[in-house]
Amino acid sequence: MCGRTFDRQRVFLTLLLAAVASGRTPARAADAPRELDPLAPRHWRCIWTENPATVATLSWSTAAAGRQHIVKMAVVDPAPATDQERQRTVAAQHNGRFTGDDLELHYHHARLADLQPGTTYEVTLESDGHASPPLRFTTAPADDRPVSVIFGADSRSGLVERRQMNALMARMAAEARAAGRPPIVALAHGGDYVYDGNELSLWAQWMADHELTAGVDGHLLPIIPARGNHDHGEHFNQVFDFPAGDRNYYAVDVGPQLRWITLNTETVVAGKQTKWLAEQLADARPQYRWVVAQYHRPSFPAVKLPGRGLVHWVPLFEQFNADLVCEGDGHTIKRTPRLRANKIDPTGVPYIGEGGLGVGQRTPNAELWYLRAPDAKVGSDHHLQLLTFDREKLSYRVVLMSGEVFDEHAWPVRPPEQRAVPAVEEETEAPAAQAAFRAPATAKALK
Amino acid sequence: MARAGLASYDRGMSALDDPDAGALHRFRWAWYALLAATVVQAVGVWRWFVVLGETPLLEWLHSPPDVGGWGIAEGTAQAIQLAVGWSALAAAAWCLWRPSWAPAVLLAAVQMAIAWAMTATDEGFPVAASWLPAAARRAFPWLTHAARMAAPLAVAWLAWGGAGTAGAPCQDAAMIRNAPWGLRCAPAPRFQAGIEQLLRWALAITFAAHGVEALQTNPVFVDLLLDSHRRWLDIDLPEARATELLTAIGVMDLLVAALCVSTRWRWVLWWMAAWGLITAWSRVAANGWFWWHDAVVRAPHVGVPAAIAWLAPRADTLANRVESPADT
Repeated sequence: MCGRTFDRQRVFLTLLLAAVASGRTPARAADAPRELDPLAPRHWRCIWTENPATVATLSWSTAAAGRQHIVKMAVVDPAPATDQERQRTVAAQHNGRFTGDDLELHYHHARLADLQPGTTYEVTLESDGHASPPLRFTTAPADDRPVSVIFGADSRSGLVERRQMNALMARMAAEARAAGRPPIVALAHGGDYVYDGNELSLWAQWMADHELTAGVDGHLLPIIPARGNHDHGEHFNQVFDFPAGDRNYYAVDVGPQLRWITLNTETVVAGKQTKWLAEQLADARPQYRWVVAQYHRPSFPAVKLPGRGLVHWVPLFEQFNADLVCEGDGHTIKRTPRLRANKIDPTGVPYIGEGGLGVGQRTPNAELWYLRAPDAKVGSDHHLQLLTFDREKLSYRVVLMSGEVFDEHAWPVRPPEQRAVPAVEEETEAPAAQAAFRAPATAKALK
Repeated sequence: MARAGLASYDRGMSALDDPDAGALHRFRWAWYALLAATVVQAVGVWRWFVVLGETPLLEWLHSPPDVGGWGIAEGTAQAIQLAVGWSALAAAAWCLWRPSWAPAVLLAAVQMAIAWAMTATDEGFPVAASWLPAAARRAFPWLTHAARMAAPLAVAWLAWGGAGTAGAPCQDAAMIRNAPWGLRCAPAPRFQAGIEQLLRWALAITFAAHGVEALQTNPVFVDLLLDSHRRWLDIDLPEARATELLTAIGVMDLLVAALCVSTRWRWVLWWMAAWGLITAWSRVAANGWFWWHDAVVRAPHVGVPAAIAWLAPRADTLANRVESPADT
């Protein structure tokens, strides 16, 4: 037994040292083992891909397979009424080895269901008796209270900056809790976590760095993940507990008045996904005060060329009056005015994002019609975008790595007539999308 | 296989030594096809690099070294990208004015730089082959771009060794007299055979790589099928049908790739040229004229198979030679 443990340690250390020695990327170089025990839980994270008021996935990794992987959880806030509520143990339902031979790493996902909305749980993650430090997470509220979500993207390089941005998120979340401000309930990540999604060592480093979003109090910041163009391969689904082969487009309720739709620009856009989006928007628009979408490749880019969402999704956002669209990939800071039919329109849809969670920044093209001051604001710096949703407005704030606020804006809640479902069209596709096909939307957008 | 090809070439092409007007005529067409593909491709590169200004090369130059880049300042990287784009256009003009190996080599180097940049920045198709190291998988663009590199390389080779053998001066008056525009003299059979083999393998690799992408359901290809059907045929093709269609396309690509290097069937090459034209055009058909550079950078997918079809010796000539009593 001791010999086997020693062997595991030796293999684990050898793999890490080999990764350090052979890699050009700092992802490998910086991956120093926190624990020598291969069954010590690491890479803890909380994932929201399904009704986060009552369901959350707690995930972690171990360097060896182990036999029993459980989550011990207890309600801490509000104070539980019964002992049964106080203590609960859930076995991880999905366990396996990450694919690839470059590193032995095993994932464990415990999907916790029947949770209480707006409730804080204390948890420990255990693999064969080896426990994580005590951690906490809070479910999404069921009542109509103001909530904040951090949007960010592109953490695939600049690892020092990535860690600083993660620490900044943890600090901001803790400050919001302490100051009684609207709680920062989740990080919506717009994709490009790593440089090459097929390299497990890069994911291992990302997961290790993501622990920093928990801060010193161990309060996990749930993540709502979108897939980026560098996140190809099987590891993405294994890291975020999607079924193998899943297309990674889904929607969650971050509170009763905020529908958060995650799209995938890295799979087929023109087919089922666009039809699904049309159904989602038609369903969500009259029910929710706020309807927000996120995805990776921008439709209104600040630097690069537009993605396929411009032709397929933008007409739907406009048809159903989405409140905000969050994009990544460009490595800049971007906020457009509200846009409709390739014009600035006060009833249109604003686009933000472009990604600054570590990756080196580009210079945005401020001459594009949708990025011109004073209607728009663009910049270049490591950043995150804090979105606060309340009954009257959606507040937007860009916070730089230094903590400085770069941009602030607010969009009022849409009037009721803009939140009604548009008349049902007989066409299978949104009429605006058909118009976009006839007119070269891309050329128009970039003029 | 290649040796068998060369042997049959020798038998058949010896007929060209007595001035075979048909063969020379066909060689002219092959040369013009390669030249046109190289020039048109360069125009697409120019638009991509200079007008649109977002390329894998820029990403490669600007990305920090920790993710495989050069860490060059954004402004400098953009200046280099512009220089490459304008150089490509100038090289294309040079090729049209007076074909020479130098501009053609430059254009081949640009294509190699694009493939290298895509490899370094992980911008290519994420081929699913977990049995391969990640670095090898990232090199997939070298396969998909093989024909795009081969066309200017073939032009350079022909222009450099435009005489009977590579580098040798033209010595035969008939060969000089029969030289197509842009070349000093008509090439000797073995020289043509070498060019043909280069092009055949590059084309087969390109088709096979695209076949793998199709069989692995590259979502970009599915979108091309869906949008092309919608825009041009007014058909709302279900995604499942598009995926099935793509599987059939993938099998076809692999099959013609194999036939390209294992047979001398000319119809295979014409089929590849037609398919190359359709797939290049699909970028415009699906996405609109804005993306015309995406179509024209694929000009070698048409020009290379056409050139091989014209270069390859005629089957009837081969048969006649083989059956000729003089050969027995």
